[in-house]
Amino acid sequence: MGVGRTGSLAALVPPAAPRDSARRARLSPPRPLLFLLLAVAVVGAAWALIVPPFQSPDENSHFGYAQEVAEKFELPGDADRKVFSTEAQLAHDRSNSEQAAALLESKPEWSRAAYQRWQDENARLPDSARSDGGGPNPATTNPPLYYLYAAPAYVVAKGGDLFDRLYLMRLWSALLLLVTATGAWLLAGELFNRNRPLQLVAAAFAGLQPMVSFLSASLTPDALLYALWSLALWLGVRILKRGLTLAQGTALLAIVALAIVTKASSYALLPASLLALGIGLLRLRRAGSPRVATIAVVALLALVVPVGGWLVTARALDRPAVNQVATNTGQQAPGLTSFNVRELGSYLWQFYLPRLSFQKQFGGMPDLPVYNVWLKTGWGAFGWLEVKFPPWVYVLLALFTVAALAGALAFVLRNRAQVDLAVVAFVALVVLTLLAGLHWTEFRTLVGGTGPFNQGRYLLPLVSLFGAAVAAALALVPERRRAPAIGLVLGGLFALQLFSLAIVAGRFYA
Amino acid sequence: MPSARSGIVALAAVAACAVVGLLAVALTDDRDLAFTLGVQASQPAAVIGRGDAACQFPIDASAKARSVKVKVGTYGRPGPPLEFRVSTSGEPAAGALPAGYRDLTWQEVRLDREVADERIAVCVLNRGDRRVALFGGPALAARASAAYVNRREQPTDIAMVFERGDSRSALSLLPTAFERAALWHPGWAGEWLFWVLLAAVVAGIPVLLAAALARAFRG
Repeated sequence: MGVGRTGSLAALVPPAAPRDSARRARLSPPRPLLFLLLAVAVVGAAWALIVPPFQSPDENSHFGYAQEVAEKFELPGDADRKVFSTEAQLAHDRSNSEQAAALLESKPEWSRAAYQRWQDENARLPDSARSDGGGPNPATTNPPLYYLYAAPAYVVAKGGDLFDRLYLMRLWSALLLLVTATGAWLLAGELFNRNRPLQLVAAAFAGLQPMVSFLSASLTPDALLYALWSLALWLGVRILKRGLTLAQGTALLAIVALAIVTKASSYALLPASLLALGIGLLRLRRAGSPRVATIAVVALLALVVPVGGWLVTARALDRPAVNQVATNTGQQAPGLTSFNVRELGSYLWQFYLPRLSFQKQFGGMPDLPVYNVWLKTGWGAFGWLEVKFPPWVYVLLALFTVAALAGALAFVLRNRAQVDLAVVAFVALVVLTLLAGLHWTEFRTLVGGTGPFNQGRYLLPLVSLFGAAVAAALALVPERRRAPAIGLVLGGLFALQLFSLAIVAGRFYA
Repeated sequence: MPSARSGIVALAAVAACAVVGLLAVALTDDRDLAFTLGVQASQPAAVIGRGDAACQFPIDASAKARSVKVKVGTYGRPGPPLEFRVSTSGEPAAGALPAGYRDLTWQEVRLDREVADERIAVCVLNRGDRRVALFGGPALAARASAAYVNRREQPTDIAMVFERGDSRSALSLLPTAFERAALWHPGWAGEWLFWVLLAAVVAGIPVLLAAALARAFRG
């Protein structure tokens, strides 16, 4: 963890400590975080290894993308090529992964004889069987950063078979869960003045929320997305709480840029990050700092160069730079200047409230998506979302969610005298921009005739904020009862992890 | 700063309850499944009239099975008698479904001996006067296996679910589950690794969280 002299770890250094030990203390992570990260690492490894190959959303496509990048340093999407390489298609077929995807009746192949036959067939494949894929698949419209991150793990395991490479990439991906938890720890440090128990709660939530750990330990750009959002949220709040520096402003916009070239939904970070930068610059200017222009230019360059590079590359390669909304033939998806306001209002109403009798029913939209989509598939829907908890578990999780959000609101109101409105505006803008983008996209897919778009996991880039909300709610608990309350939350997260892993193992292996 | 002791006690209590609860669930969750073709019974996959035979092969039998289940469509009338033959490399197994079963129902047929061979073929012979549809899915549903009617390959797969003779608790299936989990994994990820992961998750995580909690309050 590279934390400088003004970093949050500086507070740990005893004033009278010798210089060397003070330096060591600054550079080593706080012990509570260290123990938590060990627990998160165990969870990440468990998820990475227990989930069968290609049994997380679109993992077959993400593997195809990563393979194309690692084998040929090319982006997939060529319509003249096969969707998956011969090697990957053989592995899908023989392991029964495509048939088992999303279908509870179907299992991965359990026969050792079938596995040995696959080994024989795989050994006979030519080298070209790894590089003859690269056709269009659901992941090809993603920007390339995550796949570039995954490629070294692929290359390290190149001497092994496909499953060696897939699982090493998963384990490599699971390391990002540690970054997500660390980002939540740092964010909570800024929000709660380095209150270690509250930081622990926020970081534990980010690292041990079952859906976050499942996805972070899969081969999916979501893993990097959660890590980068977690860091961006911390840096944005830090800038607003402590003042803007060249390093922090540049780091914030560089991380936003990296998030954008990981997944297009990260454009939602842009308004809030620019707000944080703008407020930071304004405060510096008021303080008479001569560095305002330098900071603004360097920070914006950190944003523009990577994002612009990707946009130019995408244009040069004649490929979309952001995911496209598909529509059914003959149906027009609404645009920003051509949509029905009442229809949009009706959709939003139906997402968060029960549908009224006179309202239009959007095809494929489940009842009360705020519960059935945001909550259920945000907390726990594993595999290709088909592995779920019993219904009563989601009721408990809904109560917990409402209690945490209400508690966080009460915390803000109780401490309103000390609350920095700029921080509130930053956080609110991040949340609202993400929600607006997701709802607008789904509104377009619904009206365009291709059905619902949203899944609970699309909210998980905000997991560090929700961790902070849980911590804020616990801050309302009287101090003498706070330790057991925190113990209950940590124990609850452990219980959720345990049962999540168990239902996944039961679905695929028993 | 208050002590972390009460927090650790609360954490330990919840963790212990979770482990005991999971053990209780795993002990009482009975499982019959031996193996399955994994085909969703979404459409008629093989329609057989009097004297016709529908077969599905090859099928990799990954565990011992004593019965086979199929979903049958009888066109709204009582179902005709069906004879089941399971070919193995050794002695074949057989079973029979008496007439009179209902339309669009899953029917379980007990075999006269346990099937434990690695590759098998299952044939269903219609011994009645009326036609019957065996349900399944399109041919891609089971890539390595195919359906045949009177030796002619069909563009479908028949949904077949094989069950053990006895129910076993999910807990007792743990070694089998880990054996299955180790397939389609890197060579170094043997069954042992899943036992290590189980221990690390069940024992390691609560201990690490307790240590984190203790240090957080100490700080």
